[in-house]
Amino acid sequence: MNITIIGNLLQILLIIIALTIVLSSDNIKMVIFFSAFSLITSGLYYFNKAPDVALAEVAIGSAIMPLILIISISKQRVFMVVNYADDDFLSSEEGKEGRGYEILASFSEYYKLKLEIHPKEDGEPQGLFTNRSVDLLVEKCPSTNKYLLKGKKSSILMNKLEQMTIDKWDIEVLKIKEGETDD
Amino acid sequence: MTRKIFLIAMLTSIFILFSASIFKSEKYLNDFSKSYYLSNGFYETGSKNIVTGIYLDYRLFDSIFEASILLIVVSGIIFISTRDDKIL
Amino acid sequence: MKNSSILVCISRILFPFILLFGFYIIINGHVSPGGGFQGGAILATAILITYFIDPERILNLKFLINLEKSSFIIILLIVSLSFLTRGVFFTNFVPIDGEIDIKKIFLIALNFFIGMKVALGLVSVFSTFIKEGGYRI
Repeated sequence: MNITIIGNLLQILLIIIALTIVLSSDNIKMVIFFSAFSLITSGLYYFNKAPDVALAEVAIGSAIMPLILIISISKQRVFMVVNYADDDFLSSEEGKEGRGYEILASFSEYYKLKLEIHPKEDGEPQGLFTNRSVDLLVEKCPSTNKYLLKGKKSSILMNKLEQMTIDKWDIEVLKIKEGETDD
Repeated sequence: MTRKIFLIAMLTSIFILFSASIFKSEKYLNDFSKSYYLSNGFYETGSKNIVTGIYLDYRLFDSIFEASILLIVVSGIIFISTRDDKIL
Repeated sequence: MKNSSILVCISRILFPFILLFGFYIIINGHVSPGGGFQGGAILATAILITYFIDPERILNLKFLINLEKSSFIIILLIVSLSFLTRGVFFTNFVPIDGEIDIKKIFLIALNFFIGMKVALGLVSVFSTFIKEGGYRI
């Protein structure tokens, strides 16, 4: 008799948590609620006499899936820049920071991203879906002495970057279609 | 517009078929396999937990291919993550 | 990134118990609820906890995938042993009117290897993600 009351309470809680997952905008909170959802689901499986399924659900759904999702989210929080310019435009040394570095640092501060600048000598950065994960290429045009910031056209962040650099005469933001930055 | 009409017609027909299969399924139900597993399962497989007896003896073919699916998924993930530059 | 010392301490205490619980579920798969897949997932969770203790350590992926492949081959060999005794593939290798205690050997061995295979597979999946993600927990 008590089990049915607990089961009904858990079902109501499950509906509330499912609505929270759908309506929430923060990714990390969503993953935590997903973990709680799996925990409650496994409790319901146990009350409906399926302890095997409950064990599998509690291990996969509330431990392994959130970890993989959190790693994928944390990969998004890095703003990766590859530096092709030779001078100190992007130098991040203490005291004599380059102008480009200041712009990019304030930009990534605004979106709470972590700025990573890779020099050209590193070659192509290795990793999962490598070619998609480079957010910005910085080059120096040899003929006009302008700095070119190349990014993806589909990224919303590029509009903000274009707004921030609109009054600098020697910085130009180029938006390139998906697939052309791969080389 | 026609796509939406077709989609709604398809969904309603699927819903009607599902509800019909729920309400008319009583006469096809029998508990032959359930009573067979409960009476003979322990002596034929040696397992007190009848779920293990089913997935490791009666339905072992399914379990083997479940395991092979996991192997294929893992090797696919590792392949994509290391040979990324050459594929894309 | 360095983890907080509370998390590391709790992880060190919990790690052997989760490992023990996973092996318990695998070995007792034919008596109590559980079995190879569930126990393997719990073992993978236990190995996941070692990343909280020592974030720098990443397991050797090639070795893991080799172990997984060889355990899959062992499962196939155990399963096809029944062709010699019963004449049919994919069943128990003990004859159908044999002793129940001998039949349990097949169940325990198969549960064990399936559990090893699932645990190694899940561990290699999330260590690939950790390695390639560039993110240390």
